[in-house]
Amino acid sequence: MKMDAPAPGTPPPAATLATALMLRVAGGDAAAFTQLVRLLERPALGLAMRTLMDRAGAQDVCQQAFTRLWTHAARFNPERGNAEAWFRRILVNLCLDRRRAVRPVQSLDVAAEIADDRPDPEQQAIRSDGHARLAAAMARLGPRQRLALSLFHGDGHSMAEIAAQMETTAKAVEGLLGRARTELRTLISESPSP
Amino acid sequence: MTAALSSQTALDIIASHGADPARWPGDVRAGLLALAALDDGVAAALVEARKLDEVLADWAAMPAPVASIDVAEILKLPQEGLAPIGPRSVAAWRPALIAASAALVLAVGGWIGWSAQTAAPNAMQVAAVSPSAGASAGETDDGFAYVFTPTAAEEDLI
Repeated sequence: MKMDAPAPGTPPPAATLATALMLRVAGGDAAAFTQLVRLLERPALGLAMRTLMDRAGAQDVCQQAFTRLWTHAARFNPERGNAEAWFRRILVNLCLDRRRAVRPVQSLDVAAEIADDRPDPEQQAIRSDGHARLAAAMARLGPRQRLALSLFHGDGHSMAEIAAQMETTAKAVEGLLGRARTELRTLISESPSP
Repeated sequence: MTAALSSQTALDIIASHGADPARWPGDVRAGLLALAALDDGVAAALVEARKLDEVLADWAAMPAPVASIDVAEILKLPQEGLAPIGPRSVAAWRPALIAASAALVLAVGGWIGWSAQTAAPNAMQVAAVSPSAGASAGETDDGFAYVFTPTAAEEDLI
């Protein structure tokens, strides 16, 4: 998440662009907000999906996060971090709040369906089975564990960055990831082969 | 740091960070790699962690559903800290209202002052002197008694 100065002629990194857009959004600029949504929505939905394992819930949480980004735009302070990180903190809080509020019982069958809802042609069968087993194992983990795994392995954040987003310490994140990886390995090895 | 790194510490780091040395803390990276070359348990943990890393990379790369954020719905909402349309238009008129009020005060004040200067001195005299100022003490007492002594009908009421 280090923000280097862009070379001349190259587009600015997403974090810098997001901050520039966010400053305009704070002034009520609707076009800048639309651009910001287009920039952040896909990674946001991916993170929410991996954490919640629920498509409708993930979309709902993303809609709420962007709503908060618009209505609370005046609270954004670029001196305290870039807009992308600020938005992700909002999203992470909403994901965890939702899981605390709802706590649905996810069946392994449903989890397997979530793994890959694309058409399942024969040539993708083995890959899909692998995804299904992984999704089933993921469904057994806690949302905080999935969130940490997603931020570390999916988005490539450091322990310190994840700690800031999850409002905890880097040491706690290390423990969370260690337990999540150990549990996941056990669950995958225990799940029946196709 | 290399000498201080125990097998257990190495296993803990691999368990939480995975097998990619680039993701390990910088101050233990060299020590951990050196230990993996000597310690079979650490080497085996690295092999297992690498497999899990691949699984997790695959999981993270799974395509997310197409995003469908309803931007129009969000833009209908007012922003915190920005005044809505009504008060904002009032705020825009505020300096003009203040200027108009000040002008009105000056105009009324000026008119009163001008009236005071141009009015007849006698009129001011009449207004300033009490009607009873020229009356004798007896006339004043009679007037007081006339006003404040109840009539017979008023006595009955009392």
